[in-house]
Amino acid sequence: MADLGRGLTFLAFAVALYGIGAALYGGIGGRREWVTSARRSVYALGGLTTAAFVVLEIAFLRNDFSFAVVQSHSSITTPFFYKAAAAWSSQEGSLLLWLWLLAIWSSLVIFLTRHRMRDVQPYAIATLMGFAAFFGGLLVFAVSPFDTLAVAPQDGTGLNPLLRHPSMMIHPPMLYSGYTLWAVPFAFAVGALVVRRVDAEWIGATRRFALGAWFFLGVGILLGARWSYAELGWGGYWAWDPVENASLLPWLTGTAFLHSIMVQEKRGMLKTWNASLILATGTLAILGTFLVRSGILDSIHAFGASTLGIPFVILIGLMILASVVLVVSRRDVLRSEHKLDSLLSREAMFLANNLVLVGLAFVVFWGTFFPLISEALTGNKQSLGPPWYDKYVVPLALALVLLSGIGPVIAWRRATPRNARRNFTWPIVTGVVTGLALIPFGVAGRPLALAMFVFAAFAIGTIAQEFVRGVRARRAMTGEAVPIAFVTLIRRNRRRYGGYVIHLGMAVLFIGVAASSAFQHVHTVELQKGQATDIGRGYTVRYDGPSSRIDVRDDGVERLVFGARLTVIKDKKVVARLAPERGYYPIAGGAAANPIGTYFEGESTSEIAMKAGLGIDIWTAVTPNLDPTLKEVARGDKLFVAAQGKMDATQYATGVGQAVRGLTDRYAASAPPATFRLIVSPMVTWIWLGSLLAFLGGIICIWPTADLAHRRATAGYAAKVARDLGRA
Amino acid sequence: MDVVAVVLVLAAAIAASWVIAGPLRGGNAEAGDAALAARLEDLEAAKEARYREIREAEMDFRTGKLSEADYKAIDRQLRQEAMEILRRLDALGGATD
Repeated sequence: MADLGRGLTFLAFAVALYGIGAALYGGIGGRREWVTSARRSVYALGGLTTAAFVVLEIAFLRNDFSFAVVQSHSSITTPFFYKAAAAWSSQEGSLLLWLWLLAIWSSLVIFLTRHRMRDVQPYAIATLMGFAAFFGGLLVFAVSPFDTLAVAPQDGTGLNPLLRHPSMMIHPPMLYSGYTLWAVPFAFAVGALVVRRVDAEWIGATRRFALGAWFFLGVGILLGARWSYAELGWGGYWAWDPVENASLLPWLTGTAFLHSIMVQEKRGMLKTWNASLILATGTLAILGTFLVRSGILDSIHAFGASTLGIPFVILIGLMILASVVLVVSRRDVLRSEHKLDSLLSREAMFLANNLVLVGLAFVVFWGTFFPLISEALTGNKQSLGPPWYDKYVVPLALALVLLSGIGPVIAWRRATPRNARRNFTWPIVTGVVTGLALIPFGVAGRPLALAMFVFAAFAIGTIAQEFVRGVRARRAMTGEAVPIAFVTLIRRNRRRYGGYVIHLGMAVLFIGVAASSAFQHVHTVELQKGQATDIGRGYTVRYDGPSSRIDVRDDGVERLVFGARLTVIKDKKVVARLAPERGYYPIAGGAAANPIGTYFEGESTSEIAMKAGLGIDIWTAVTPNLDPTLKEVARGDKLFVAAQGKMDATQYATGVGQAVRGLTDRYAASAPPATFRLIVSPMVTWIWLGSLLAFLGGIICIWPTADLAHRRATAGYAAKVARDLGRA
Repeated sequence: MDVVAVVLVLAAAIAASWVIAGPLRGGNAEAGDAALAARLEDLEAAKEARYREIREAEMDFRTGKLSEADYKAIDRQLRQEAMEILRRLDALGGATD
C-alpha cells in the first residue's frame, strides 16, 4: 500500500514537470498538439493524485499503523468519522490534500476552457502545473505521507482531541479548496499578461473559479470560527491568531478583486489594479499555506516547526518577482480605457471599497507578521493582540458596511442630485430610524456599535429597495405576478442579486459581530455546589452539582468526563439547564508506569454548553478541580505499580478499572468547587445566519446560467440581438 | 517491495503516458478543428458578455442608476458590438439556426 502511494505521488510529480515543459514548448512554438498533451497531463495529474489520496484514506480507515502518519494521527478507538478526516490533520496528509484539490480544480478549469483563450492556456497550464510540481516535489523529497515504520505498532497515538469536532472534518478541505481555487485566476492572469491579452476575457473565463475560491475560503473561515466558539473553551469566535489571519488575507484581497473586475468589465478601467490584486491574492494563498507549515509564527493551528519554510519562501519570492515583472512590463497594455468621471459614481465606490479591503488586508498582514518584524528590529518577539486590531479594523469595517450600502445603488459614471435623492432617501431613513430606535436600549453608550447598526440598517435598506425596484421593473416589462417576478429577477440576474444577498448577509454578520463584541459579559468564577452568580443582563447561573462518567468505545476507554450541572435563571424563571464538561483522554502507552494516572493526565478538551438564540447566547465552560482526585490517583498508581506481577492480568485490569470508576464516582459525589467561564453574548447567532446568507448569495452567483451559446436567430443581426435578449 | 504495488504503479504510468501522448501520436490533425472551435467559443463568450451587459444596463436604467441619455448611448454601443460579433460568428459558420 505504501509503495503504491509513493509510486503514484512520484508519477504525479513527474507528470506535473512534463505538463510545465509541454505547455511552454507548445505555447512558445505554436505547437497545438503539445498544448493539448499538456492539458491531458493536467487530467492525468487529477487521476493520479486521486488514487494516491484514496490509498492514504484506506490506510487510515483500515488502521494500518505501518504508515507513520496513521500511527501518529489515528488509533483504533478514533471514531470512523474522524479517521477519515485524520488524513489531513497531519502535515504530510494535508500537503497531499492540497495537491489533490489543486489537480481537481485545475482539471475542471482546463476542461471548461479547452476551446477558449488558446493563446493564454499554455501559460495558465504551466503555472498550475508549476504549483503542482512544487507540492508534488515536497511530497516526494521532503515529507511523504507514505513513510512506513520498521515495526507496525498495535495502536496509534490517536487524533488530537481538539480536532474531534464535526467542523474540523470539513474545515481544512474548504480552506484548501479556497487556496487552490485562487491558483486558477492567478494562473490565467499570468497567461493573459504573458500574451498581453489583458481584456476582460480571462476574467470572464475564471470569474466563477474566483467566486468559488471566495466561497470555499469563506466557508472554511466560518467553520474555523464556529469551531473556536464551540470547542476551544474561551468563548470567542475570532482571536486574530496568525493562521486565522493567514486565511483571511487572500479572502480580503480576493473580495476586493471580485468587486473591481466589475469596473474592468463595465468600463475597461482598473486593469493594472485587477492584475495586481489577483497576483497578490494567489501569492497570499500560498503565504497562508506557508504560515501553517513553517512554524515561524506561534499558533494553535500550525503544524509546528518543520523544514518546509525555505522551499515556501523561495516559491513566494518567485511569485512576487514574476508578478512585479509581468505587471511592470505590460503597463502599456494595462492602461485604462476610461477615466473616473466623478467621485460620486459607482466606479469610485468600487475603488473606495477596494482601498478599504486592501487596507484591512494590510492591517491584518502587519499584525500577523509583527512578531517577526519586532524580532528582526529589536531581538524580541512581540505579538499584537485584539485591541490593536480593533483600533484599525473597526473603523475600516464601518466604512466597508457603509460602502456596501452605497455601491449597489449609486449610478455608474456620475450620480446626479436627483438620482441620489431617489436612491438614498429611504435607506437613509431606515438607518436613522434604526439608530433612534436603539438609543433607549442603551446602545448610545457604545458609539461604534451604534454606528455599525445604523450603517448595516442603511445597507439592508438599499438592498431591500433594490429588490423592490427590480421586481417592479420586471413586472412592468412582463406583467408577472410578484413571486414569479422575484424569482425570475434573481434567476436572470444571478450575479447582481446574488451579490445583493451577499451584502445582506455581510450586514447581518457585522451586526452580530458589533453586538456580541460591544455588549458581551464575561465572568470567570469559582462556584461551590448550590452557589449562584449573576452573569449580566439579568441572568443568574446556579451550580447544581458535579457530574462524571467514563466514555467507552469499542475495546477501550475513550475518555473520562468531569462536568457540572448548571441552571440558568432569569426573572425567577428557569431559562435553561446546561451541562458543560471537560474530557480527559488517556495517554497512549502510559499504562505501565501510571496505571490509573494514564486516564487522568492526558490531553483534555472543554465541551462547552450553551443556550443559543437569536437574541442571546448563554455560553458556559467548566474547569473541574481535580487536585484532590489526582492525589488519590498518585496513591493508586504506587499501589498498582507495586502489584504488577503479583496479580494475574485479568485481576489487575479489573482492579485498575474499579479504581478509575471509583475515583470518577467520588468526584461526582463530593467534588471541590469548580471554575466556570460564563458568557452572555448578544446576537452571536446573527454571525452564523449572516454567513449562511452570504454563502447563499455566493451560490446564486456561482450557479451556472442556462447555456445560451447555441441560441440563434435567422433575421437580421439587430433583430437577432433583440430576439436573443428577449429569450434569455 | 510490494510486487502488486509495483505492477499497479507501472499500469498507472502506462495509462497516464498513453493519455498524455495521444495528441502527439495524432500529429496536428485535430489542430485545425480545435482552432475553429476555440474561435467560435471565444466569440460566443463575447456575445454572451455583451448580452449580459445590455440586460444589466437596462436594469440599471429601470432602477434609476443610469440616466436615460447614458443608457441609450451604452445600449446602442453594446448592441452594435453584439451585432459585430454575430457577423463574425456567421463568417465562421457558427451563428446559423
